[in-house]
Amino acid sequence: MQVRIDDGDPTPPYEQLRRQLLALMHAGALAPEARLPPIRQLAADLGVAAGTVARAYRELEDAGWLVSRRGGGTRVATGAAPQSAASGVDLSEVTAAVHHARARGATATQIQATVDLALAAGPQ
Amino acid sequence: MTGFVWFFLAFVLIAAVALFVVIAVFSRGSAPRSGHDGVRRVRAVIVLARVVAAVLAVRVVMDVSELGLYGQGLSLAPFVVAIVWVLGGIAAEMVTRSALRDGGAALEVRSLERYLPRRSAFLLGFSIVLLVATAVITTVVAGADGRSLAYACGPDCMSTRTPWPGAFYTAPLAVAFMILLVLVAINVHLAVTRPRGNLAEVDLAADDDTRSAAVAAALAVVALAIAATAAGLVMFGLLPPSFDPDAPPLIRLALVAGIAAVVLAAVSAAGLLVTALTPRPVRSAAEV
Repeated sequence: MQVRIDDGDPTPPYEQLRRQLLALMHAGALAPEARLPPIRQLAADLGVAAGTVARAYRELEDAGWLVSRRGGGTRVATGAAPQSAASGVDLSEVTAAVHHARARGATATQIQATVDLALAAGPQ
Repeated sequence: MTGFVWFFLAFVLIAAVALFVVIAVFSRGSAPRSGHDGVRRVRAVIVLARVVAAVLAVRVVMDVSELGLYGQGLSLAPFVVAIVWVLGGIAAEMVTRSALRDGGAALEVRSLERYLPRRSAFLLGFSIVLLVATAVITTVVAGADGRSLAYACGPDCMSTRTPWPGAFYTAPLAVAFMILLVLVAINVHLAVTRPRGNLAEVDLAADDDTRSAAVAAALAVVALAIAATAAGLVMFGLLPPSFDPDAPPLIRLALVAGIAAVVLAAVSAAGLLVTALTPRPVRSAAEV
C-alpha cells in the first residue's frame, strides 16, 4: 500500500494524503486496527512537513476513521468498515478486473499496488 | 613490550581469526541485488564511509594511545576506535538521507524491532552489564590513587599491585562508553528512519538488508569494544592478583564477570558481524 504526493496537483498535500488514505480504507486495503506509519516517518518518506501528515491524520481522526493512542500509534478505527460500493457509483468493473487479474495469477499485493498507483495518479 | 602485551596481542589475533572463521561458516550467502540507483548508492556510501572510518580509527588510536600516563590512553583505544567507526556510519546516513525519496511512501511501520538481531543484541546487553559490574568492583577495591590494588598478605605484610583498573582507568572509560552509546543510538535511529519512497519489492528487500546491516555493524563494533576492554581488564588487571591466595575474594568474582563479559561480547560480535555482512530477511510489521 502506497501513497504519493503530487507536487503538480493544486490540491493541498494534506488533502491529497487524506483522500488517498480514505480511498484505501473504503477499499478495505487498510483494514480496521491496521497500524499507520508514525507521523514523522511518513512525513520524511513523502518529503513533506510533519504538520501536513498530522493534519491529514487529525481530520481522519475527527471523522472517526482513525484512532490515535498514546504509545500505540495511529490505527484505523474498528468501526471503519470498507465500502464495497460507493452510493450511486457502479464499481462492478473494478471487481471484475480484480477477479480477472486473480484468475491470471496476479497476487493480491500486485493488484493492490496497481490500484494504489491508479488512485494516486488522480482523476483522469 | 612486556610479556603480557604480547600475550594480549596474540589473543586479539586469535580472536580475529576465530571471528573470521565464524563469519565464513555462518554467512547466509550474498545479499539480494537491487538495480535501484538510490539503494545501490546508499550501500556504496555506507561501505565507503566505513572504510574511511576504519583507516581514520587506526590513525586516531595511535594518537590516543600516547595520551595520559601508565597506559591510560591505551585502555581507551577500543572505545575510541568504536566511536570513530560509528561516526563514519552517522556521516553515511546523513549523506544518503534523501537518496530513496521520490514523493511516495509505503504505509508501513519501520521500527527498530524489524532490523535488530535480537539474540546478538541480548548477548551484547548482558556483556555490557557484566563489564560494568567488573569495572565497578575493580574501582571500589582500588587504592586511593585509583590505579593500584593493596591488600594484606599476612601479619605486618601489605601487597600492592599495579596497574589496577581503578577510577584512574575506569572513569575515562565510562565517559568514552557513554559517548559511544549515544552515538550508536543516533546511528541506529538514522538507519531505521532513513526515508524511502515507492520501491519495487526486490528494492525494498535490498534496502531492508542495508538497514539491518547498518544496525548490526553499529552494534558489532560496540560488542568488539566491550570484548577488547574486558579482555584488557582481565589480562592486565585481574589475572595477576587472582592467583595470589591472599587476594580478596571479590577480585576472583570480578575475574569471572570479566571473562564472561569477554566471551559473551565475542559471541555477540560474531553474530552481529554475520548479520552485518549477510543480513537475514527482516521481520514484517506483523512479526514485530
